Amino acid sequence: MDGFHAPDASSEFYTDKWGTFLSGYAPIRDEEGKTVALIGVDMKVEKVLAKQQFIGSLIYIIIGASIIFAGLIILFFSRTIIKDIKNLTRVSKKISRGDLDIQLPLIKSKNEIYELNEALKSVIAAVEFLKDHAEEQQKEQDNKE
Amino acid sequence: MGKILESYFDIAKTKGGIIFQVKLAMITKMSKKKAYEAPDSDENIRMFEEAMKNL
Repeated sequence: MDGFHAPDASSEFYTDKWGTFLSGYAPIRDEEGKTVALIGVDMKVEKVLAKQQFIGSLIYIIIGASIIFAGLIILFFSRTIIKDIKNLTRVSKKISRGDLDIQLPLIKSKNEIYELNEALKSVIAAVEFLKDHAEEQQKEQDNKE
Repeated sequence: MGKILESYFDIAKTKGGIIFQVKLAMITKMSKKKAYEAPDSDENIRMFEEAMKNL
């Protein structure tokens, strides 16, 4: 019997004149660790089934709550970070088309997207400056001619 | 009108030419034109002063 070596429980119910039960066993050891006795506990089938049902329900509740929680996280990210990234992508595409008359999105959270937004502002300022400078020089050249 | 702010670009030009002007634009995130359009507020002037130190 496994109960002599380590705590164990029978895998099947058994029925006797007092009812149907599931039994669990655990060894009782002396100071040297030698098994000197065995303790057994019977649990009524109704109680076992109720506990199984409770654990089964709990698993479904945990899975359901996890799905809802994951959905909320996805919704949060899609409304904040992904929205900011989409805005930055839209602005970057405009810049690549030579359109510098753009309004960069206002990003409140100080994360990597904020850093990217600030870096983009610097690049736009530099490109704007160089564009204005080139236009001024062109005008000066045209006036000389 | 940001006449004071715009003047920082002229100072930058005398210090290091167009490279310094571009650097100033990048640090302040304002082109010369935008600086002219922006108000000469204490905050903006402070930002340009800080930027000039970093050129």
